[in-house]
Amino acid sequence: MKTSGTKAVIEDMAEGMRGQPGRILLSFISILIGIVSLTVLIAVLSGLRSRADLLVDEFGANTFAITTSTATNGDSSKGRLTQKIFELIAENLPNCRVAGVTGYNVDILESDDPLHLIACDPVLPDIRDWKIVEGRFFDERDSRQLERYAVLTLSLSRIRDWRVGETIMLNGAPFTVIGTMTTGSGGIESESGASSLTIGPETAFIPRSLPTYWVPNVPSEDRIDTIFVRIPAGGRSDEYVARTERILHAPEFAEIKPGWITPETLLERIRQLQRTIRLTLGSVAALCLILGCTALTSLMILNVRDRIKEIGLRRSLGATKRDVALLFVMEGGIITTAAGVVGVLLTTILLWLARSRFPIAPKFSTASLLLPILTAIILGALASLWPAIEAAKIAPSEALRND
Amino acid sequence: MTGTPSILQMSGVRKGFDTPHGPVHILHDVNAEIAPGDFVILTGPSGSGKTTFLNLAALLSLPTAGTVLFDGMKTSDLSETDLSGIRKRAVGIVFQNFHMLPHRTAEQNVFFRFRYVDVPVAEAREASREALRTVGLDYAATRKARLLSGGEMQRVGIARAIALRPRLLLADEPTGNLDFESAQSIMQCFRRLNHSGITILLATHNESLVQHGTRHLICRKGSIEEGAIHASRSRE
Repeated sequence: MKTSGTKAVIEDMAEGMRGQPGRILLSFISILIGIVSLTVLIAVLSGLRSRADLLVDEFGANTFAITTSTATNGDSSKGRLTQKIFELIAENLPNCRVAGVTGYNVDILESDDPLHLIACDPVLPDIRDWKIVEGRFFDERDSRQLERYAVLTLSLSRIRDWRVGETIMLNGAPFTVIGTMTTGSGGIESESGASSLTIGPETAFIPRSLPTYWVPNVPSEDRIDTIFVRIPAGGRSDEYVARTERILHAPEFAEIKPGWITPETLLERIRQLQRTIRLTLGSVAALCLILGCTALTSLMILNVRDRIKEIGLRRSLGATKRDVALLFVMEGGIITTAAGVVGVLLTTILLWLARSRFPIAPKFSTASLLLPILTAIILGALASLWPAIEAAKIAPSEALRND
Repeated sequence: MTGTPSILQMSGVRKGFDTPHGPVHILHDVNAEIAPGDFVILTGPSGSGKTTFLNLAALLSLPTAGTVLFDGMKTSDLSETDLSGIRKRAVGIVFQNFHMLPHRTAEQNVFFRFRYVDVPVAEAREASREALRTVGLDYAATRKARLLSGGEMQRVGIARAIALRPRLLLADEPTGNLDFESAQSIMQCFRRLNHSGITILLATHNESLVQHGTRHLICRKGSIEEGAIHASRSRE
């Protein structure tokens, strides 16, 4: 071990910090608050980004949907999507897979709560990339032959203990369960804000071709809540959306006010949230870090002024200007690095403890932990650079003359 | 002066400073030489330029004009790193105000001499203890510097300056803040060091200290003159 080694550097740091504990604490706390804000910001934005990735993944980059505002089992067919519109779209977009979806609430024998029922076309699972767990989904033939088949979400199957092959009663009408499947996180439905799209844990799917006389308060057999369109791979969704829009611009559909759900519209809410968080939390982080850096710079200036004799002594013992500058840069860096490490640890623990309170869970990654610490180190070095250069400029003879 | 090559040689040295009120000239056309083994006492009233002369000798500043040779090297031709390198090994400085690191022990203060020198720690620690023994302060090695008396602090300062066996030991008013007895003790210490072969340049305004040296230089209004040694100890 050499006399100019790490231990000597640590002793130098301790020597410098001993003098002004109050000012050091102030700088430390300011930087700490800034780093906490920055870490929260990064974690929340990472969480939102993951959510956005999940949504795009679930919805599919090549999928869009047309919907109208609905209230299940009621309302008239006026201003709504209809079978005619569905057929027109399917006819005009021959390369696309198109599925209509209509939602109902029906009573079941075993529960007081109504069951959410989705009447849809057989291609819906393909369009939405839902996975069959057991059995199968109904096909075109089942649909044509008006088979009373039902496919259940896995949760519904487990909760109700309804198994494949079993006959279940939906509002008094018998249906044979032919399959169970998983339907994603439900994130798309909640982000789109379209209640008709809601796929809760307890949802059953039946062919849309079945007559609905057995469902209460259905004013029109013709009603469709949402039409999903999956465009061919490599196709541009905006072109297909424009073509569909042209169909709906026909005078006979003038009363229809369609809502468009595309990956872009799904992400818009998340982007708005990201912008708001970035602006608010980012401002807090930036202000705290600026305040911390200002406090640190003033601390280091006073530190230099108070230690002029020590600077002279070091120069007389052979320290170069670079050695002196490095001493103060490292002292500043140590304070901010400590604040960075403590801030990141504190934030990680607090966010972990409060994770259930966040609607979108913050996400931690190596980058989200290292970035605030790296920021702290760089800010510390920058904030102490000017005082350090001033310290290095002090002539040793002048420093030793100082009384 | 001896016939051996000089450690320090100044020829036609001038040193001035720019101030808001215009340039101030401290040293004018100074010629001086310090040979190995010398114990030079530099006297002169306050403001006469003693400290400026010492700073030039310690390579802490460079002359405005003229030549300063340290071990034959022209200081104004040396880089900042070279000058620092010479200060590290070849020059030891004792200050009037001691310049202690108050929170460190006496031994740690001496050990600080090695801060910018790559020496194994064990070797540096032994050299620090030896230096403290030389100045008779081994009993206070573990005492914090702030708890030492003025005389003890100055002896720690001397130990720090000699821990690396410098070619030239410079002292600027080393007894200026000490009572008579402590001052005498410090001067005895310097004499012992000089006897052991260390070359010393000591600046003081106290004429009575001249007797301790082997040579006397007088600094008067920025000029340096050779003075006489009146006491018994000269060229022993």
